[in-house]
Amino acid sequence: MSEAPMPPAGRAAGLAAFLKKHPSVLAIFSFCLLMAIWELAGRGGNPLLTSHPSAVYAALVKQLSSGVLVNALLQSLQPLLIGYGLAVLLGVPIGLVLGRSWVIEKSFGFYFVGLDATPLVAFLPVFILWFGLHVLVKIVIVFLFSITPIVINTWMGVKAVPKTLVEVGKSFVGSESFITRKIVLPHALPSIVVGLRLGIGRAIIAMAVAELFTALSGLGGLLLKRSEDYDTAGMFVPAFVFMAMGIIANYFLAAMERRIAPWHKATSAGNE
Amino acid sequence: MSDVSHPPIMVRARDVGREFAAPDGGIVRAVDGVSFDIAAGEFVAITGQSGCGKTTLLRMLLGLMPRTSGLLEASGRPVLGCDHKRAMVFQNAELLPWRSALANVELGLETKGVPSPERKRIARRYLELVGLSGAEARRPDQLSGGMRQRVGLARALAVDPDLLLMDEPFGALDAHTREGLQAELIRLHEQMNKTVVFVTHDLDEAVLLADRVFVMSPAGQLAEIVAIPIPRPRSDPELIRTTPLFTEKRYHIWQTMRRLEVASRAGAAA
Repeated sequence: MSEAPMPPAGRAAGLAAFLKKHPSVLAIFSFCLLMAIWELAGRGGNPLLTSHPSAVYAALVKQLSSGVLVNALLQSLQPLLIGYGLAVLLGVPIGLVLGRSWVIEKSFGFYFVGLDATPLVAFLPVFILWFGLHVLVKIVIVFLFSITPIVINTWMGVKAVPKTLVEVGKSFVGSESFITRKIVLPHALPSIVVGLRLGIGRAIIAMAVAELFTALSGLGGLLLKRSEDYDTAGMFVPAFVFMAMGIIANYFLAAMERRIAPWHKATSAGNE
Repeated sequence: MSDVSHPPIMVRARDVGREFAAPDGGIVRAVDGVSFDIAAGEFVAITGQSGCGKTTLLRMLLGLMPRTSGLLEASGRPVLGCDHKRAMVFQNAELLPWRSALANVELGLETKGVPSPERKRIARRYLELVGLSGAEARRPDQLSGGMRQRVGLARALAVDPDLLLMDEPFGALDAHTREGLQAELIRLHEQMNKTVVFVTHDLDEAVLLADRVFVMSPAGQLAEIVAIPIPRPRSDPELIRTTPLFTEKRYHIWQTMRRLEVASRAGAAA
């Protein structure tokens, strides 16, 4: 480092340095503030129409101790993981092939662009007719919702691989398979991870939608039952579990991205 | 082999041409009827204005781009595609950003099928040869531009090619780094006795490095071949730059290029 150390600029600079070191403090502060506002605003309201954090917490304790929440979570996780897992296993190779072969891209690419923009919710009744009111329908919906961002981001990531790097592979007599595995795939990895992150968000939404629509079981089923009982506080519990799942899944995928593509962070500019 | 008066011919080009379809439906001749021989161990610099087809010619030599006419042989065999007998040093190094310097040098050895421990040993040796033994574990984003280009050079040398092709490899570097790498390249060439074809638009660089300079016209023809009889080893580039022979050759090539440029403008106007 050639720059001289910055002179201390008092307490503000000290706080900024502390927050930079412990950024989760910001999230915790923002969360507590929101909860406090909600608590104050919601306390006086009609419990049928609104709720507040302490009531939701009481409902959470009740649902945990009766085992109903854990049960619903497990029922939801199974189709979520199977549907999303299939979407990853099929989506990444499909995206790779679309990006590498223009004949396949022109022949099949538009299906995925179209599927991505389709309001799949509208097709739910048809899916129920085809796959029955069974866990299978949830898996299909999760799969269809989450595969398109994975395919499209992989595909675009492959298209963004610089031509010269592919030429480096060719100049050293690399086969198509060698170039795909050793040059294209690693280069597209950050974009693929973006697809995986978008995909998990879509998968969670898909699961919720499927369960709400079919009233089958799981967190969505629980949410529906609580709302039919006019238990507004109890309804918030599975809703928050959905949110928490999204945050946790994103956290893990972001950590995975830092592990598998550390060079990407180093070469791209982010916010300060 | 030093007593052989005529070293074997490494590259033989006869009437080599490359045409491209122009956007207006016509045909653009990027390289037009180029013929030459390059002897084994020779250092040839190709120079000319931007767009004169020098990079196209280099890519045809590598086998990355097919020619549309003519005969082109390297290492005694027709050039039909890329081959481990030829290796390229790219304009901006073009390293794989997720790989360490060492793993980048291993790239060509992987496609050559060299087993891993052997590969690492060879890669380490070539990194040392280009003066980067301490930087093996560093990724390209942790290396300077000059160091990246050294890795690119080590990567090409590691496959032990007959012919080393270099596409304006020092063009993007600052003057100080460039001079350091030029001296290094002279040393490596004289020590390893590789045949080198080096594309550059820097006349100083061409005269300093090469045994012969090929000057291409804006129309993609090989206009003139200028021999540079500066004796080897050229161990003191700074001193060479001050010699009358150097300045005379440099001026001669400059004049040739100037003449070609004027002729091409007159041709375009007519």
